[in-house]
Amino acid sequence: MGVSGCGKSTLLKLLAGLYSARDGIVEVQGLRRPEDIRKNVSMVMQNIMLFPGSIRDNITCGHPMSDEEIRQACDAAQLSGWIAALPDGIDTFVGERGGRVSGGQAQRIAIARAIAKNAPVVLLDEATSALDGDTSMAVLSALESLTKGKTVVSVSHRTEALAGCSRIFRLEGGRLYSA
Amino acid sequence: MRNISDIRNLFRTAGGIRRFIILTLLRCPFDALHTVIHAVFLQLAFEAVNSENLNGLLHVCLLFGIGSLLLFLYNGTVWMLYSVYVTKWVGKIQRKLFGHISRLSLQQIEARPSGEWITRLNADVQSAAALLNQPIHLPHAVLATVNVCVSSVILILFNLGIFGLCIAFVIPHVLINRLLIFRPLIWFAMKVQEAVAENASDMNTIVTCADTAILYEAQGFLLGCFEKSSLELRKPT
Repeated sequence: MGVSGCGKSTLLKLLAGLYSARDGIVEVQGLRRPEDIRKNVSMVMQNIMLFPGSIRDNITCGHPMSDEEIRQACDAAQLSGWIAALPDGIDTFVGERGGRVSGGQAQRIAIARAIAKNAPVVLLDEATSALDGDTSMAVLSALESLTKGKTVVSVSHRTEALAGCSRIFRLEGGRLYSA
Repeated sequence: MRNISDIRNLFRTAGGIRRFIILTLLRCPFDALHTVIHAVFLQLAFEAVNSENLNGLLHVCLLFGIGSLLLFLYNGTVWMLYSVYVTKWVGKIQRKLFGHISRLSLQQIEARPSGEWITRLNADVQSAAALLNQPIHLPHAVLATVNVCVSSVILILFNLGIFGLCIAFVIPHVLINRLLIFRPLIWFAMKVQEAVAENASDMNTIVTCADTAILYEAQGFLLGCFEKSSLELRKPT
């Protein structure tokens, strides 16, 4: 945890292999090369950016995936009920920048994408900070499915969002302190 | 972009220089042939008028019509091939740029605002396309109008009958031009605008969704979407 702007998201991007460290080493699952790390990490961010494609495209990211795998990811992400009610189902266009779906739905699509990747490490960047009352239960339930049995690094500026974490650190001035 | 070595580098990147040279050479004879046909027509028409040979004048007009039609067909065909070539060439440059950006690290992408990437993508491609596809400039249009006006005045002073004959050719030409070329051109421009907007949106995605695309190895998928909308750009041609 840490205040806004202290570098929490940057730290997560380093852990995700999205940034390369200028000094020191980033090691995840015994891997140090960013491209290897990225294969073992999935991430859910606060500001979800969906691709301008279908729900299916946003879950598979163009990778070959069976209908059963997609269905399981949608079930776990609490999306199946909503998708079943859509005229085009899983092939519904989410709009440019996800403009045709709500914030909660976009977040659950991002969670389904992370579930479908099935990476051993899950990074959550303020994943529960922008939830409204109607969708928060569904998203929290989806996050539970995503993180079950995985190594989870969750970042938040609110202490209550980190309930259930085994270890909590405070990031301050570029250093981590045990909270 | 303006010096020869930059142009050479651009063609080295996108290829197609041989086709460009051939098509440019094919475009060259049009103006010369156009002038020759007009000159021969005027010469023969004046000779026929001077000798009061109405039959000869009709033959000359018929030959002029056939010659102009063939020249129009030749020019249209070359321009069509040239447009297809330019569209494909621009598409190739765009795909190369898109592929290059999609392979950049997130740090490099985030170092500049997304708007700057999109502007650079569009501006660079447009300036590359301008090398091959310069539009008709305003001075061209002014020059052509002045030429037409001066020619008309000379012709009226010289022979009102010949002027009337020319007008009889010009009016159907203008009408056909408006009905068969101008209207489809507006429709075509609108379609291109829509396709360009979709294409730009796909370009935008690689910048705004860079972190997700890199983390989930979706660059290939986004490149596929971009190629698809690039093909839409080519469709109207």
